[in-house]
Amino acid sequence: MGPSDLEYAVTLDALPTDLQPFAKELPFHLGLTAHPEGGWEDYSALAPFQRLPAYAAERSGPALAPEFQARYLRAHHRGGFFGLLIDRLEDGQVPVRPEWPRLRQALFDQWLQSLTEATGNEALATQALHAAIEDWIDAVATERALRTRRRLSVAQYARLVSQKVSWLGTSAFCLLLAHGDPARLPVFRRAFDLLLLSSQCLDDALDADEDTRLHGIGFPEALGHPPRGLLRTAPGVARLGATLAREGGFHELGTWLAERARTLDESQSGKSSLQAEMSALALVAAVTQLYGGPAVTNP
Amino acid sequence: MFNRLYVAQTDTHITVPFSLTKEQWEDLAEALSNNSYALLRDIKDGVAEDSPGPDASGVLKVGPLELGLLYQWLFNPVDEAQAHNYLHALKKAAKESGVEAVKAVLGVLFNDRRFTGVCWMNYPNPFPIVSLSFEEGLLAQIASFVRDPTLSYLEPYEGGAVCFVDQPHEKDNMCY
Repeated sequence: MGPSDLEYAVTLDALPTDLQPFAKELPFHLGLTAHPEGGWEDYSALAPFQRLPAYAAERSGPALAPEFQARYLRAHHRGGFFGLLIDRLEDGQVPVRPEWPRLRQALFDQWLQSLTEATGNEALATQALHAAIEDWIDAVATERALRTRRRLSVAQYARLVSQKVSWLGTSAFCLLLAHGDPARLPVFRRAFDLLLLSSQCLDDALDADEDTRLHGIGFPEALGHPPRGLLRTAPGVARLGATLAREGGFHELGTWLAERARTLDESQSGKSSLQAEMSALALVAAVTQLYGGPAVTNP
Repeated sequence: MFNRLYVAQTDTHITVPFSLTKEQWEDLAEALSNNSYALLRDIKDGVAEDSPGPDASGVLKVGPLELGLLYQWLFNPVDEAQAHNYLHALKKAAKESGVEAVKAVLGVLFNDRRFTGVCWMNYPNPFPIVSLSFEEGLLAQIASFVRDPTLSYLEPYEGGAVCFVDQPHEKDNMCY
């Protein structure tokens, strides 16, 4: 059992008793795992997604005390439980159940409470959750509009990805604001955005056919690029994220992103094409312009 | 639905003391809100009208937007036969003559108004023909892609390996 699942056991205990039997199998009900006994770890396999506050806590001075790190990690996990719930409900991927409204409210309350405890500041926690939810609402509206408009620029895509799951970064962002150097937050968020974008390029490339079947259009088509081009964009975006993270002093995140880029390149070796590489060159260049970076070319 | 949930939550349970420092609020706004951070992300791309066009000397800097246009011209072309011709020319230049020859082919392509639909006379610095300027390493990277034999197995286009112009179809001919 990983840290997300251990935290969820605590979360479960704090839920209303009558909700607990249903909530115990929440990852399964949300379609995140194929088995009723499956956990959150089955879904969130990438290390930064599991413990993002630890990456944000890296600093040159004295380390953040372990008890503070643990509080932020708790808030991070609880934000994840809530965020995945609202995302799956919105996406229509789960059947309607009478338990959803109360469970959603309970998980939101737990997220807010844990972030308030971590930051020691209710105003910050409230504002941060508000910003994350506003982002998510904007992203949902953009996705709906896309199904009609059928076109998406790279800038719109990057923004959509950043907004749709900004709740995943909320606790780490708050760590920098309340117990770190707030001036380092913008660069951390950019590196985190690029981690998200790299992952989403991969997912959207692999899910293109399914998205077309379910929604009438996939992201590669909306961007005017082939799925394989988006696939080849993923390592370039991760590499850009690594550069930004290291420049901002987030070396552990930078190292992870660089390794991710290398792994993605290796896994796609011999499976590309001129069209895919030219597509990725253009897409990575646009993302580089968007987020700032040294060059449009790969090293 | 969640809007209502959130409003209800803030109305009934949460008191907001606004105890952040000025710096925290400013950084929070920049990092989490739709203001300055959104401006960072609000960069146009994808249409030729957004290109600044040539500079006062008639030089067009090939940046992210122009790379996006180049991709669309070659791989989502209006004139497929001419796109095919350019890919052939790029391949030949990269294999036989090197980076400068690739630059020359791209120079012709960027000035092929009938193919691209772009007239450089319509920009703030109007020129009938532009010369191209590339960031260091970019041209070499394009040339390396074009001549890389490992990238040819899905060519000419990802939809299939059938050449739509009457060219030899064997892979050894590097048909684009």
